Amino acid sequence: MDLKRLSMRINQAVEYLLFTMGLGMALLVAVQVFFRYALNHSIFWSEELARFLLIWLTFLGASVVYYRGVHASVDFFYQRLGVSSRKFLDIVVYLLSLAFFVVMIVYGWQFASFVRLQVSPALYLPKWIPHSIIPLSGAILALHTLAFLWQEIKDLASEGEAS
Amino acid sequence: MTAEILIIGLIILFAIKAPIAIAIGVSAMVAIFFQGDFSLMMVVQRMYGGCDSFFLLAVPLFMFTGVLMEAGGISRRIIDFANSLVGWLPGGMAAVAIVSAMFFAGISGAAAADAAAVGSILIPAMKKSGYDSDFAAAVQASGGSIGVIIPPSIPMIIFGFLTGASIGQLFAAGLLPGVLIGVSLIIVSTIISRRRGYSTSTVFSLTEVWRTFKRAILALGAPIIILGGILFGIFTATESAAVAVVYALFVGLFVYRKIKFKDLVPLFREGAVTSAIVMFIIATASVFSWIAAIEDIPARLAGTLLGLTHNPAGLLLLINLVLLIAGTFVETSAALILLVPMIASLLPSLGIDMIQLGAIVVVNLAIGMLTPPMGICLIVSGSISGDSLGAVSRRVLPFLGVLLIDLLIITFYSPLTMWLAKAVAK
Repeated sequence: MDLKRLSMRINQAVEYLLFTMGLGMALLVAVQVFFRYALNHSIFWSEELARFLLIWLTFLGASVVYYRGVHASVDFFYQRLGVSSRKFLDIVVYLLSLAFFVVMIVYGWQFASFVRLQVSPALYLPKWIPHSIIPLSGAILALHTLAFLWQEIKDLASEGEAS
Repeated sequence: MTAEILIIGLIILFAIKAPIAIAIGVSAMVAIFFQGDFSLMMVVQRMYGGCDSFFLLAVPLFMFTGVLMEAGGISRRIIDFANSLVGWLPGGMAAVAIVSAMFFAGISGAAAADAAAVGSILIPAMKKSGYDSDFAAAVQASGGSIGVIIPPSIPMIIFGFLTGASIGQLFAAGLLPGVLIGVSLIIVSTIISRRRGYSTSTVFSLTEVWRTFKRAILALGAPIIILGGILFGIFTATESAAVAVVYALFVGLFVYRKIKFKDLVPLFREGAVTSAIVMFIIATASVFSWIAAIEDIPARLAGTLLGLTHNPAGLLLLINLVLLIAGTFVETSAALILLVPMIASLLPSLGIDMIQLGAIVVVNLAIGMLTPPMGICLIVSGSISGDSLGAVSRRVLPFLGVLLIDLLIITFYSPLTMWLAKAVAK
């Protein structure tokens, strides 16, 4: 399978996960409220689980936003540039982003191994599980970036042939 | 040196159109690397810690409420009710756009969502009734900015998260300023409409008010749960958001029946994606503000402002100026995380409460949503009406003028914010 399709498939899967986590998180907090006020009984683990879901939603959601190209940005100067300078800046931004995502993968991995023997206080969940979202989402983001870069290179090559 | 890398790096990355979250993350990463005291593992650790918060759960939950209520067919009912209240004014539809935006602000926590929910119906309707298209977009954009002032409000949640101020009290502090801003925007739109001869859209009748109120009552239930629950100290902000989601689901699925079970997938997915835009900025900005704090940058910037004046009123005006400029160029969540540590450190010299400061900060950033190039409300409304950013920006000027007057009132008349905030159980 080529890079572009792989990036698309992974994004589809992540989008579906986002729905599940979003709905799950909302119901979880709502059930927590219901138990506390109606049944006068607190569920001790729901807050922790909801926080883990929020962290996963943040980083997986960021990869979808990146794939769709809808992260907020300032195009004040950019829109005043010609096509070729824009292409050049796009590639610079992809490479800088890629460096950031690689840091997420490498140091995210280190961080997760660093806490691998600890467990979370309420759920007794090994802490590396929630922490693994950073290297995981870093890898997804890096894959999308490589697919975008590959596309840019192919465009440049076909332009070169045309002229 | 680290401070220079942070600030210059950020400006360069913004200029070359790097996504804001990544621009903030990359400049912080490079600064940590060259500063040399810490491992790059701090980047990862701070990103994780930055979004590991029960308070911030309210961000996606309020997004879900807004998305569900809109899909559940409440926009139309709220607009009909607003029409019965203010449709008889000259330029009635413009006033309806503002009042609907105020009601919707009680459900949604984001300004762009507010402008889009009401504007997608009212901007085409105004154009059809002979209003200038760029004026219609400008009215809707300025009404939308109330979305973050009337609670719930995502910027206020972030302010509370950053300063430890009570989110319930911050929400309470936003209510009256939101009403003040709504009324003043209606005054401006009515004056302009009279001059341009825009018609009224209805005659006032109490029976019509009652009829549309009954139809909208379930829609108006969401703000009552959110506000009432928080103001009376029954729920925390996060809990009230979760209850509001369940309420919105119930109304949409079983009462109005506009939402089908299969619609839940795209609705929750899109709500999650929109939340992730804000949350990822919070994550990377936490790295930035951590290394900035290590380098003592907030205190140094605060010192620069204190070097200009020690007069509390003068300082407040300076803070407003800094925030207005920042709000023009930087996205709201990013502006909050980058600037609030500096501004909050000035609190002892200001002689006001942290809660009022929060309201001032959020109103400033709401005004920033109406100024190009980073004016999210202008962009949303302009894309609905089909007008350029430039055209809408010109027509929004009179509204910006009155908003600045409102901002001065909110800054220097503390009862407007503090009266309700003090009434809230902590």
